[in-house]
Amino acid sequence: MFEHVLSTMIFLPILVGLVLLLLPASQGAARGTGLVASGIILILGIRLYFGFSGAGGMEFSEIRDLLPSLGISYNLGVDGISLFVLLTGAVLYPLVFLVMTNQSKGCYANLLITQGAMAGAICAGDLVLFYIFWELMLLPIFFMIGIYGGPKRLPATIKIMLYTVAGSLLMLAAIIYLGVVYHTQFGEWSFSAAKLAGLELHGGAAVLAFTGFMLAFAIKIPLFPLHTWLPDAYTEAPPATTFVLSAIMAKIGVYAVIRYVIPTFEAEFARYALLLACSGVIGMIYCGIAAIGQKDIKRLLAFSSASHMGILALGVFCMNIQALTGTIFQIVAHATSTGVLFLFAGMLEERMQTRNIEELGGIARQAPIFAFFFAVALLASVGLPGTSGFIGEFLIILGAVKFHTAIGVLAGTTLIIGVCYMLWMFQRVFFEKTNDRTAGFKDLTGIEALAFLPVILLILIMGIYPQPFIAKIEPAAKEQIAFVRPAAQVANYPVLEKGHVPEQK
Amino acid sequence: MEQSAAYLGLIPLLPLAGATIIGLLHLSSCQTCKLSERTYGILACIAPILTFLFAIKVFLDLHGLPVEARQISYQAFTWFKVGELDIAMGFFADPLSSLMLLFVTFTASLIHIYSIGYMAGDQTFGKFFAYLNLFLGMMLILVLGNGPVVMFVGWEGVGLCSYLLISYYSEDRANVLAGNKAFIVNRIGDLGFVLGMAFLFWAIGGSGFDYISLKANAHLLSSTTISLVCLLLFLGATGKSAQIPLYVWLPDAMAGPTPVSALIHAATMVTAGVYMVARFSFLYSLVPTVGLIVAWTGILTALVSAIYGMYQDDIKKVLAYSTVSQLGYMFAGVGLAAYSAGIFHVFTHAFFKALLFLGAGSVIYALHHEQNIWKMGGLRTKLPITYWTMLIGALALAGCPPFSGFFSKDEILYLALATGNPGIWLIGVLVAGMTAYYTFRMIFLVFHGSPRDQGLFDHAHEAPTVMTVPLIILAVGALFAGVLNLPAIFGGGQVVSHWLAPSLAELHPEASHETEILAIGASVVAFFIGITIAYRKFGSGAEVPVFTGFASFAYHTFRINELYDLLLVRPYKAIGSAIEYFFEPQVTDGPVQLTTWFYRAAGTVFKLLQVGYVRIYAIYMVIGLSLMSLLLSQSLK
Repeated sequence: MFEHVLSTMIFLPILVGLVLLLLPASQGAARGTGLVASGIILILGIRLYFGFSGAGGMEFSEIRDLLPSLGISYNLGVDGISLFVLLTGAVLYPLVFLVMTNQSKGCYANLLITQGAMAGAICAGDLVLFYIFWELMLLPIFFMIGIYGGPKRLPATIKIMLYTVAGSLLMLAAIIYLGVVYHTQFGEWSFSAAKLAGLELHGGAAVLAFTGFMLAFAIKIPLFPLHTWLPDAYTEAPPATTFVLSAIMAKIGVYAVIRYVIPTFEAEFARYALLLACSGVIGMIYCGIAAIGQKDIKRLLAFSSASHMGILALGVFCMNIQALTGTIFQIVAHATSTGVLFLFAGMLEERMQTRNIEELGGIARQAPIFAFFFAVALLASVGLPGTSGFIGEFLIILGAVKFHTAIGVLAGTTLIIGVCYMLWMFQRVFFEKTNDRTAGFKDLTGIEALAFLPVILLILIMGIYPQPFIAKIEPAAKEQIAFVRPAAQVANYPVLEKGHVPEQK
Repeated sequence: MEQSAAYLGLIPLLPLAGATIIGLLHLSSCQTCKLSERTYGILACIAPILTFLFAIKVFLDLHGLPVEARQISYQAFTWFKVGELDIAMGFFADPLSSLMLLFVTFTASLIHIYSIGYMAGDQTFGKFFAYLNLFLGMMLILVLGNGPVVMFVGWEGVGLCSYLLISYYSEDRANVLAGNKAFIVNRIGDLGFVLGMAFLFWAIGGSGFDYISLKANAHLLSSTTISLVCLLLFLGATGKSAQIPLYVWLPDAMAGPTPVSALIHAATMVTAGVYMVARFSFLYSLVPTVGLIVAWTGILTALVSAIYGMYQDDIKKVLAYSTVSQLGYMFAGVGLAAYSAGIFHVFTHAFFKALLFLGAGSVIYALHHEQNIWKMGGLRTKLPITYWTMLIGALALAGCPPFSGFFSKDEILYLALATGNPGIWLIGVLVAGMTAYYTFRMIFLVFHGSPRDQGLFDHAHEAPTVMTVPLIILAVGALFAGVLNLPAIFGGGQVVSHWLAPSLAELHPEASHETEILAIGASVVAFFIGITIAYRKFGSGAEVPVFTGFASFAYHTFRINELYDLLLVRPYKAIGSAIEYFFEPQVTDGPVQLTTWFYRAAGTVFKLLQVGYVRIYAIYMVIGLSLMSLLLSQSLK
């Protein structure tokens, strides 16, 4: 089984999910099956992590022809970047099935399909294959929000649908364009990402194709001003879906930029990097300030997530090793912290029947362990040293300062913006007096606490001893930087040359 | 040149381990299986006392080395390494950090012991000590970190503990708001710290980002870069050490339990900014202009907060503003490149201010949490130990010779004169007089005269031994600590300055004996004027004053909180609401709304055509066919 470990990680959950959809299983049985399936994936993921050499390049590759006449192949592999995105999903998924006890059967099934499809999109080394998985991971999301979502689920579904479909179609056009260009330049068909990376692209068409890719990914991340689907979708989606959207799927947008856009469109990427970086940093500030005005805890976390995604994406556009490594590190860091926060918000909603911050209060007194875990995730989210969030944010801010001083300074304001809304929320939900509603709030049970414990520990370990993770990320990040460095010099970023290294005395 | 010493890593680890153990015990305990307060108390005191012993060992080890080689360090592990950025989790002790280490662990030990008495009966006794231990661990990381990034871990860590302990009584919204304020205001400063680090790193950090490498490469920096870095780092210091414009959080921080005010918000954490400037003295000494900005910020903060201090009616607020004011002196010192003078004032201040806060805690404890000095009076007979120890603390704070505060403050004022800054000196002397005034206003109102609230007075009783012993020990420190740095004019050898010299890039201005005598004379006169006015007004009882005009303005701290609220907080919230209610639905959502609108509009138009009569559809067909044939005939031509 281990030689096909990636295929297993992709198709096992998809198959289990489909079977669950077709069979008349009970809610509990669906949850149990999901737990087992995601548990298997977690075990595979851990073996994958320890089997990964980290020397650079693709590992665990599986290549098979799919449609030889069109050069489409079944091409999977992981490197230091995809490994962590893949593992994030593998580690966090079992938690959903463990603590989210009140979702419907269809929701559990759709979650599994999404998990497999996301793994596919992460591992795909062929753009057509990637596109198939990309669409496949989005479909269940529409169903989950549209069928199992909150009272305003229909407008939210339409919005996310409009956005993502528009993005996806443009990306499909861009993929086909790349294939055609490859055919004219080399006389054969191929959609292999590695081969397309070697294309010489010029002119307006290349910019259009670049835009096609970037739009699809920018919507998924989301980059300002394409974020408006996010607060509604995150708020209306069932808790488990919000968790998947925020913790994992948003990261695939960033990941796809690193994996597919940078190698192929290095010149266009370098040319528009400043614009994209501005969009990232504006989004961080805009959504961060928007979060302070929220009364709904889920909507607040949605804006917080969007704000963090802005700075996370910024790291990609800075085109230096510190920022890019920081981004990949932050993908995991943010997934764990935001993931836990959304899960806790989901539990609050399930148990308190409200998401209104004003109606909560005094929970720290009622449930110290719950509050403690929440606080750890919150502190990681605001980037406190000693938690995973600091390492990622610090590297990104450092890289941003090198890339462009003004953007670096603006990126630094995340330090302030984050604590404002987070402390405000923490105060009203966890501190102050308990009311009739929150007086009955029960602390985490032993099993729930044990389920969260590994993730909480991961947040702390990644903050205190991050080097083992960084050592696996850095070689792959270096390869990506190598693509853009010549292009960035052509595009004339003087800042890249700054930072001379004096001799040690 | 450097000696490796693994035990350095153990120093911050001990309290962190203590915090973890106590925290886990607290979290896992239930109503019936609660550990006794005694167990928690003993557990909590282990770490501080052990670290104090280690601090002595560090001092002795350094002392055993030749003066130029007084450095020991320990690299625990590579923390993170990306490209040229290579950050080790490393600890480093030199004379400067060893001095900090000594008084931090010393006061922390005493305050831990004191807290056992003060916090008795608290519902979450274990949690309190877990936080206190965590704070100590973070403070030690701050002091011992071998570079700015490790220092930043402690820097933010103590900020977190400060937040947690200010909002400790979290049921009351005001306390939590005070905690939020502390955290957010500190974060504004931290932005400066982070950016300062980033600029410093991209300039010379590539070949090592620890103090030793930075110091070695500092000559490669342009003076613009140094100024920028120093200003940004100083922004960080104004946050942590409560200076203009970020001092507003410290008075509110008094919402926390009083031992916390003594430890965190007086003796240790708030002096971190001064320590940081002294740490970076190899940069600050290169840019005297930035130094002047630091010094003027400090002395103006000292002045403003001394004005506030003269009108407060909460005993802790008086002490809080006096802390802000004394921190201002320290910055005046380090700003004028008199780093050892600034650090020496940090050192003596730790004793007398911790003492005063713990004394205030004893008073508050005796009066069942009454903090208004206008409800006290005549307590010296009821609380004799508290009275005598606080009196020593007050004399030290007010700068009465030969108490410790006199020597350390006088050194700063003398150096202001010697470096040619008579403006700073003059304000400093004025503040010295005001300090004597408000300190003894407090002492007279609390301990002298007759009781203002007989009920409170009758129930007052001296604190238990576990609280009074730390008071006595600190009083001894407040009395004699000044002797350690006696200047030559009093026949001393400036032991502390000489000890610190290898760590600091200090300027030694030459000045005449007359200048020194003038400085001392002015300080003594200011002290006597201050205390005399205080005695005349409050020495034998006084009634609650009604503040009008300037006094009322100063009582309300020049309305600075209202101003910040108006200029910063409200606009920020307003923008937040504007985004939620206007930009999100109306502006950024535009593309989606346009699309849906277009579909709806098109639908409406097409709906009109669907009338359901065959004859109408036949007409559509005829129109269509004729258009098509027209098009065809056109194209065939």
